[in-house]
Amino acid sequence: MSPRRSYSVQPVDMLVFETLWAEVGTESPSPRVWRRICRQVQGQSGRRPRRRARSWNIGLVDLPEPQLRTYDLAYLRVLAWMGMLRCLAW
Amino acid sequence: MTTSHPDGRLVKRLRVGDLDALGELYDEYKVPIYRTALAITRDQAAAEDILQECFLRLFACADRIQTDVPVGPWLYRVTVNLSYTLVKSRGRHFRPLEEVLNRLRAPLDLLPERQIERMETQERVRRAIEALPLAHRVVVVLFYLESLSLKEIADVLEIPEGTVKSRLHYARESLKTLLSERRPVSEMVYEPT
Repeated sequence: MSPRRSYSVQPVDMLVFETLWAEVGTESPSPRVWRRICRQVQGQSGRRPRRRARSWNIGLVDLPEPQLRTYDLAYLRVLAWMGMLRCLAW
Repeated sequence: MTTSHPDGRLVKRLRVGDLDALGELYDEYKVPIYRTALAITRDQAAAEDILQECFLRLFACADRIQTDVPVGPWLYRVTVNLSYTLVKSRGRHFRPLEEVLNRLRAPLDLLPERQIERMETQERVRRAIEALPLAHRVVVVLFYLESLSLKEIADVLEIPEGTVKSRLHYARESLKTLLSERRPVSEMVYEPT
């Protein structure tokens, strides 16, 4: 990033850096965080995000369309059944 | 006319709901953002929640984010604010990460003397950092762990650069004092890895 500190590095600086780095420097978030983000974004109304087609996102590629299609089909089935029931009632 | 930053181009794609763009930004920033949240909150689940919230906000607020500058400072700002809120809402600093403690404590009898001494020193430094006021600890994390300059920290925290400098100075002096209570810092073991 931009120009660094302007004063001399003291032992305390090295100790602080090393301690922080030893504690969290090699930590990384679990893959489920990204999956949660995707689910939330896809669940938001109004926007219909484009799917990712990347190797690192294989597990998510097929999510949106099949879900919507299943939902649409289920809705149409309900309508059809309601129509049939009305006909029978008549 | 402003030049669009590479991040800015991705932000523009976010505005039309492009999840690929969010993924690219996530891949670029997930580690530093998570690391910052973890260093401040000292809680892995909380750090993951903050990371998630950060990127959800990025997606939701893409229309209001500048496209001619990197998105990093904005993400850091949200991370720090969320971490502040979380830490304050719990009214105390989180307990240390269990695996870090295990790493520091468990293998003591298996390691060479030098390494044990180094771990003890790190444990003391860690406690000294934890004892700092939250505002100072945030500056320490951004400065040492994320290698941000004073100006960058000032931008992230939206405070004057002089305030950052004084907080860092105070933090360093406090750490020196806290660490020298048992042994002078200059005598502590430091071996670059």
